[in-house]
Amino acid sequence: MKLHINDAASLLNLPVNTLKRWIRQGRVPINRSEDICIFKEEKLNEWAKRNHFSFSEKKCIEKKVLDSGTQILSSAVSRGIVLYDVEGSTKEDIFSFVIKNLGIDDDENKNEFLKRLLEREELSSTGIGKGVAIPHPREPLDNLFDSPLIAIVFPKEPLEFDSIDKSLVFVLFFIVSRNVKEHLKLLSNLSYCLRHENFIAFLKNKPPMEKIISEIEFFENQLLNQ
Amino acid sequence: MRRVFLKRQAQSIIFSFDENFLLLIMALIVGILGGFAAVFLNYSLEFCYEHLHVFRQYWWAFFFPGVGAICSCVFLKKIIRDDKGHGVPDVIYSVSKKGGLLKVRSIFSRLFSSILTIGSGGSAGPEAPILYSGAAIGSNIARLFSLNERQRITLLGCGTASAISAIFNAPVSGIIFTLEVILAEWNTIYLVPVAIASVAGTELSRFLRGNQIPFSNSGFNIGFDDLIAAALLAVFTAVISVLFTRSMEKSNKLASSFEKKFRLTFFVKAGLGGCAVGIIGFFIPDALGEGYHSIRELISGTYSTGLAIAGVALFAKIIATAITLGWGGSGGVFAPSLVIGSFTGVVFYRVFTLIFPEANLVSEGGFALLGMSGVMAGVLQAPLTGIFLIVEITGGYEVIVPLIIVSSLSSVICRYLEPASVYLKELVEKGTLLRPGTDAKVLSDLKVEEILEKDCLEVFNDMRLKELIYLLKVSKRNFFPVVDRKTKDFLGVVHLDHIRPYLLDSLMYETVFIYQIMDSEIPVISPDTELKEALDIMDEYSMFSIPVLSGRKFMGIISKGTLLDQYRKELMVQTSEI
Repeated sequence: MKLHINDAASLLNLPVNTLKRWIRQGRVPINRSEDICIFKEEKLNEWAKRNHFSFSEKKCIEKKVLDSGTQILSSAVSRGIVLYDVEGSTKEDIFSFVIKNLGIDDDENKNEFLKRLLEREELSSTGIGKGVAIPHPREPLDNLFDSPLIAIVFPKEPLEFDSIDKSLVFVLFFIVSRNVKEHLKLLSNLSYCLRHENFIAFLKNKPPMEKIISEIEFFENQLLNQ
Repeated sequence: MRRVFLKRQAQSIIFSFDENFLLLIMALIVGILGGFAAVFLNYSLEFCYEHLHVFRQYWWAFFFPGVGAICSCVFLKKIIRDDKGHGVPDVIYSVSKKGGLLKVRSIFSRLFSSILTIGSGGSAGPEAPILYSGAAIGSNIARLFSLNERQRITLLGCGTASAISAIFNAPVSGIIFTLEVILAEWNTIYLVPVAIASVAGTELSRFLRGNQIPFSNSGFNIGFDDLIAAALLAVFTAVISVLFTRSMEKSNKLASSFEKKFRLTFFVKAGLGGCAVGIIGFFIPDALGEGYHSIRELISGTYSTGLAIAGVALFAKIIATAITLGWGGSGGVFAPSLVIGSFTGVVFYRVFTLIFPEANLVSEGGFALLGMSGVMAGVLQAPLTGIFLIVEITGGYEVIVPLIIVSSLSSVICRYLEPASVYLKELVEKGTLLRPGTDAKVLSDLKVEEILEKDCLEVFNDMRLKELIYLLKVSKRNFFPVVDRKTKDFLGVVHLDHIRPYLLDSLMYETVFIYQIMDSEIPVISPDTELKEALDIMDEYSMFSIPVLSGRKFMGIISKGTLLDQYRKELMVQTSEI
């Protein structure tokens, strides 16, 4: 197998300088000609295992995907759904409608999801003011979806939601994540967007999904370059 | 051009074979070449001995060692331009610090200079020069084939093993000496190539010189009294070993102070030393040369009787060797330790039988053997080499039990009195003895660059605290280097731990500037700083991380956390077999 030395180093999770020195000293079963590493994969695997190194290509790719998660919110929205003019006067009505549209097969999962959403509302309302609510399950459901998603809901009539500023809710962002870390990351990016008055004003027009995504991308880029 | 072409050819051969198999073949070649070097040196010394021996009775013979020493050091210093020294420390240094690199000229340099020194009568051993040649042969063959450092060190070890094996006709000692003293690592990856080289060297010397045991004897009958006497002898040999080691050191210092005081050129110094040895040798011929002849007499029990004669010869040999090596001659301490050891054994035997005439001891020759083993183990601090070498070169397996007692006890006592052996002393003093898997080796291998963390966010000295608060969100560290906005020179650091009280005070956000809260008097290091030194600085100031500057520009930081991570990996890789 042939690899560039930089890739080989990142596969082994080592600084490039260290790998170069180890090759020179003959401590790792790799031959090197210029910047290309030549090695037998099974031999290197065996070596890595014996020295408690993690060596796998899969891991490297996964890591790359996770690292590129700066657009996590916009991509979550694009994986989710946007529902307009949803009828219903209570939290539970709206929640059940969204769950129905999320495409969850299992009835048990549906009930569990609803239960956790309501549990969270019991703790304190997720109406965060300015007419926005961010319902989410009390504890993330880890095996419901492969990746995080956001469902955006515009109710037909503004909704009584016990918001902190007593305002009526005109848009709901359902945050569905697999773990707490992901949830916080999504929440932090969302909170950044909502901090801007023009984003709220933009939402009041009930824009189509593509426009919402591109708007969020804009804010996420801004956040990145800060 | 030709050299490059040769190298390419060699490399392409390497890639088409299995590496380990090739290493074994190369070990065989190194073994044969090392064997040749040993046989060559041995013949040359015998030639010199035969032709110069007849002149020994004349008074002017004391000039011989002087002339020999002059020629030897002029040859080494001016003609071939290699470093001075007795060889083994250089080989160990090369293994620990330079990945086993040795010069091509080192193959010949010590070989010829030691022939001149020892052949003319200087008191030194031919083993170290041969060992040095063998090591250089192995190292340069590895370099020709562009092998990696581990393989190069293996071939270097093959060279030393074959040299020792060939000169003593003792394959096991060659292997053990190499693993115990030169490589200091009992690793199976070394064992097989070293064993092959050792056997090749031995077979070559047997083919050319016949299978003779260097110091044969008629066999010994060891009794219980001998074991008790052996334990006592160990104390005696340990004292003599330390005396020998220290007198060499003293002689070296004396020579260099003489050199400064009288502004002697190096060859005049060597000549003076040689003549002094010649004068000693005129009265006590046993102190001259490598001394194998006297060992034979001592073991067979035919050495002239009398306690005083043996005692005087013992000290004469110590002084002669110290002068030869300290004043500029070329050679090793291997053979002199054997000679001194056998004298020690004989002197001990004579004293012991004088005090306890009724003790039922084995012959005088037997104690000469035990003494050799004791002094050998003490001077080299290598008990296993002491045991196996004596068993092999005397063909006397019956003495192994007392040999083990003398050898191990002597080396333990010596280690107590002199923590580093004669080979390692210099290296330990300079801090360049880096045995594999030790803290010093790990720290010297790791470079600052390898653990440098570059993900620090730089801040400017005229920024307000508020701006720093924003950066806190994106930074992964609690450590911000401060640089000048214009020149980008490093000014100091802001450490979160130090500004924690201000972080939640919104009044201070606007009013406090970075330069007011930065710490500008912290120690810094450069990328070339040795890690050990960096760690010492961090410990002194109880820091967890330290900035690295290249000139006045900030490069990154090194932290103990990352260091531990890398340190552990390094240690695991260094100590595991490939």
